[in-house]
Amino acid sequence: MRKQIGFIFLIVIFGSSKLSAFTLLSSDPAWSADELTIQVNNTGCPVDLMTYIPAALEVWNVVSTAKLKLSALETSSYTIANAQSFSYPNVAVIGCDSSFSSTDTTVGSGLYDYSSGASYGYVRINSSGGSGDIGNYGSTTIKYILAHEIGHMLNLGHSSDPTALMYYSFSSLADVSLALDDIRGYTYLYPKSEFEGDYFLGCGLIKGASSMGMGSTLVLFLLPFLLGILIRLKASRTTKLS
Amino acid sequence: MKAFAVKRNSVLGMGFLSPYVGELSNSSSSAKGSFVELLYPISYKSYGNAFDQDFFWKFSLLGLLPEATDEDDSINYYQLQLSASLLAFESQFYSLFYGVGLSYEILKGNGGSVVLNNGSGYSTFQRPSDTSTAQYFYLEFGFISDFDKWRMDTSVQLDNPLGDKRSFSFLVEFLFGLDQMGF
Repeated sequence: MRKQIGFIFLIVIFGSSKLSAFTLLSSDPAWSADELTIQVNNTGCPVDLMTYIPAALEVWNVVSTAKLKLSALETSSYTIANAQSFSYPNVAVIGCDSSFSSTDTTVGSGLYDYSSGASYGYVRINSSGGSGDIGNYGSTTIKYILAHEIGHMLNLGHSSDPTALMYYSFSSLADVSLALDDIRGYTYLYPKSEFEGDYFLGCGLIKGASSMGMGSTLVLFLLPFLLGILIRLKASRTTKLS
Repeated sequence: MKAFAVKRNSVLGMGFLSPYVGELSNSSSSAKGSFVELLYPISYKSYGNAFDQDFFWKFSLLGLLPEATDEDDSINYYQLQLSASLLAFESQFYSLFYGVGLSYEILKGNGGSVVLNNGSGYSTFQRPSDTSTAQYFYLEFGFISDFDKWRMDTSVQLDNPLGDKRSFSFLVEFLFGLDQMGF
C-alpha cells in the first residue's frame, strides 16, 4: 500500500504540465460559422500566397477538438484595403499591402473584430519591398508567418508560451506546428460539440441534433452496449428453445 | 493458474496521456515531436460481465494535478473521460480491449487582460473570461498487462476517427485493485 501511495505522490510531484497562456484579441464572439473560406487576393504580392496558405491552414485544421474548418479561395473581388475599413462582414481576407514603411520589419499583421453581430478579419502581408517584405523570406518562414497571422484573424492574441505558434517571435524554424497552448486557445474559441450539431466521430455524414441533451447523449453512448446485450439475450433464448 | 487482475471489480490509478502524437511542438523552432506533452489522468475502472461478455467502464479526470506556475492561474483546464470497453482476448498475462469513449474538455478563463510583447512594442490582450467545453466521442483500443497485484493499461485513443481532423493520443495507466489498496 505504501508503495502505491509513494508512486502516486511521485507522479504528482513531477507530473506538472504547462499552464495555458493563450490570449484573445477580442472578448466578443468569434467566427460563428463551422466552415470559414478565406478569400485570398494575390494582387501585388511578391510571392504566390496560394502556394503557402493551404499548408498554413492545415496547421490549424489538425485540431480535432475544434469545430472550425478552414479553407482558402483565390479572389480579386475582396481587397485588403476595403477589408481594413471593415467593408466585408463575415468575410476573412488575406492580401498583400505595399503601404508598410520600407524600414518596418513587420512581415504581416492579422486582425479580428466583431461589430453589430458580424465578424471581421484580415491578414495583410508586407509587400513594400523594404526590410519586412514577404519576398525576403524562405518557404517555412512564410508558412509560419501566415499560420501565426491567421491565428490572429481567428481572434487569438499572443501567447506568453515561447513554444507556441502565437508567441510573438520564433528562432531558426524547423517546421510549422502548434503547441498544446495554441490547441487549447483554438478549442476555447471553437469548441467541438458532437451533441450540438458537429459531426459524430468526425464523420461527414452524421451530425448530432442541435438540441441533443445530456439524456440523449448517454443513450447514444450506451446504445452499442445495449444492442450487444440484446443480441446476446436473443441468442441465449434461441439456444434454450432449441 | 492465477486470477487475472483485470477481473478485480474496481481499480484505481494514474498514468500518462500524450495528446496529438506526432503533431505537437514544444520548442521555439516549431519542430514536431512524438510525445512532447504529457497529461496525467487519474482513472477509476470497474469490471463487469453481462451475457458472457467481459467489459469495463472507465472514468478519468485530467487537469486536477497542479500545473507549472510560471504564469498566473487565469485559465483552468480540465478533461473528463468516460469510456466503455469490451475485452476482446484474454490470456493469463494480458488482455486486449477496444471501446468507445466520451470526452469533455473544459477551459475556464477568469478574464482580465495582459500586456505582451507585440514584436515592435507591447499590446494589451484579453484573457478568456468564459467557460468553453468541447464534447466529443473517441475510439480506444489497447492492452492490459497483468502483474498480479497491479496492472498496466496501454492504449491509443483515436479522436475524430471518421473525419479528416484525425488525431491520436497515447495513454499508459498504472492501476491497483481497490482491495489491494485496503478499500
